[in-house]
Amino acid sequence: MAIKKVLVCDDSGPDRANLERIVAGTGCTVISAANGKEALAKARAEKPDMIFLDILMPEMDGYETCRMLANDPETKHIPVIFVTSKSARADRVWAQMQGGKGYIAKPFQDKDVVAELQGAH
Amino acid sequence: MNDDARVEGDQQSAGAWLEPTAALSRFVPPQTDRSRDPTGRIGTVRYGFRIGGIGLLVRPETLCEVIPQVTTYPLPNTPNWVAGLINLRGNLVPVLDLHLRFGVTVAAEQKRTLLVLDRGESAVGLYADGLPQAVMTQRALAELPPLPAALRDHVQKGYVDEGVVWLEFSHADFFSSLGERLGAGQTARSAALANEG
Repeated sequence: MAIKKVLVCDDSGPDRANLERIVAGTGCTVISAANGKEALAKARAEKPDMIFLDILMPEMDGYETCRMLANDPETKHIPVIFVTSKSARADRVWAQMQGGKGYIAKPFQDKDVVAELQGAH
Repeated sequence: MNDDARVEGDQQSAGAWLEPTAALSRFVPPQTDRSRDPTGRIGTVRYGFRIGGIGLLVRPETLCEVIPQVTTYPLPNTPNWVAGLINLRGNLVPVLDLHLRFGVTVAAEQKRTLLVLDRGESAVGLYADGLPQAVMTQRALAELPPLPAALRDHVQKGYVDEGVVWLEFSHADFFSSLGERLGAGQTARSAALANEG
């Protein structure tokens, strides 16, 4: 499936802007959210082809957001890529168990994000 | 025990059948702190079960029973995560659907299994994904990952084994808190009905 629309969710403004820049550079349409609740609402409304999701966020963490996306018939098919500073192997294992299709550890390079976008093809 | 005593004991047990609950209470769960699991790995072995993407470890010495084919009778006016009641050898046992409580989906490739933890008044049933499995608890997590809110206060630590994170959770405390929550809900409903009347 060609990725045309991508939702980026991170509570950190600079990190979100960096992801937006990289994704937009591949020609995809970018939608942004600053927290999990906003991401859920935008995922339901905009139906993105992929979601880049931070884990440590206030109110609703990335894992809970991912579980709620997986429970919603309208969003459960959307692949979620976790983008986080937590990089231990156990974190990766847990992220996969919570439904993540990919995992990018911060700090990352542009090519890491592009590889996830291309890997979904 | 000498031969005479054994014969006398056998004669007594042959004449008097135990009640099912009494027979079950004689059961002692197998020692879990063994040095080798069924697949030959060396270390401390525990048993765990999966609820969607969450692996939960059963405490050592906990009686954990897999119940085949049994009818679950729904309970009215309860939250959706209360699946109902089953009749287990004459005891009514509440059954919970923790997938709904934790907000997780059932693993598509797994068949749901009904497990009953503990016995007698403490027994609680729950639907798990697949069968319980042996878990090696050698590699403890440095810190717990963010957990579903309903589980957060009942998990002490976690382990990684074979690409799965297993959480050490206190099921008795967890079920007690759910019971209190249910009780509080019933009280509020009764008060509302009384006000309507």
